[in-house]
Amino acid sequence: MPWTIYDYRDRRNRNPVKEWCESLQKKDLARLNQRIDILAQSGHDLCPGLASNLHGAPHLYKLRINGSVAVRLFLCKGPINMNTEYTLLHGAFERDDELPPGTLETAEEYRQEIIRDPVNRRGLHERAKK
Amino acid sequence: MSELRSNLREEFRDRDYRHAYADESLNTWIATQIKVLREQRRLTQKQLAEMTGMAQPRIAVLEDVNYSSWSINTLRRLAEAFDLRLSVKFEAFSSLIPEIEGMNREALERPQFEDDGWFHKKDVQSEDSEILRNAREGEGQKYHHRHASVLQFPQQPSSGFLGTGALIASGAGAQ
Repeated sequence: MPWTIYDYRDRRNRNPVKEWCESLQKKDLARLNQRIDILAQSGHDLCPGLASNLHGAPHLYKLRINGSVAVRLFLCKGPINMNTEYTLLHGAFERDDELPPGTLETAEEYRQEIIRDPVNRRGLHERAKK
Repeated sequence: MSELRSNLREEFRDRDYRHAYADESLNTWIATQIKVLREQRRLTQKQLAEMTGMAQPRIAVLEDVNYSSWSINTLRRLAEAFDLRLSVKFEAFSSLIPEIEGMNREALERPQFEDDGWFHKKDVQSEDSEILRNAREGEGQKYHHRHASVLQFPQQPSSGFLGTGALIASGAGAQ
């Protein structure tokens, strides 16, 4: 069953996930878009390692792309309808197996904002293009 | 045309983009199919490891879409353990789209020989012609003939360009 993918929107209705994706190199973006396409088609349970759970952040998942840099995109199931939706929350680059400080906290904060105001704090996924 | 088809039709005009996307799809397909075939046969990773002469952590690595260093010899060992043939083909990019759209457990499952119905039927004459016709045309060509007018992908360069590689464990006669 296909899933609906949403992007987090900030207070000014900007789409920071899309802006971050557009900053990626072309091949890394292609790999990330492929993962998002599979997520939309199959969800994350079928494909092992597609979206991994995170220690200490029970509601978040991580998409990993190992291209020219270690691309990490944080997302959650739902958070409004847990059976049909994923929401892309926050992107980051991992260096030496370390994420920038506050990455998971930021993603979780965005998830909470969506739960409080789902109409304004998320929109349908906008595909990043080069 | 679906949104996915529309996106890929535009994005795949870029050579680097389509090869990166197809590489990632290949990794996703193989890792997921290994897990699905193992589960279809009700095997644990440890049991599959014993059947293939590998260590269990190695199976866990192979069943991860983030793994990309596939070897045909390793896939051959897995195919034998699953009682399937290994099929390695070069395919046109347009054939990737139905694979993405149809990515689900059923599309990845394959019957082992004992459950491969064609070999165990008494009257297979009517099916023979279809199987032989499919074998002559090839899966990629069949798809191209049926969908070329819909997808209208740009022509690939003709001088030695082979498209993306596909490594697929297939049951004989399975679609």
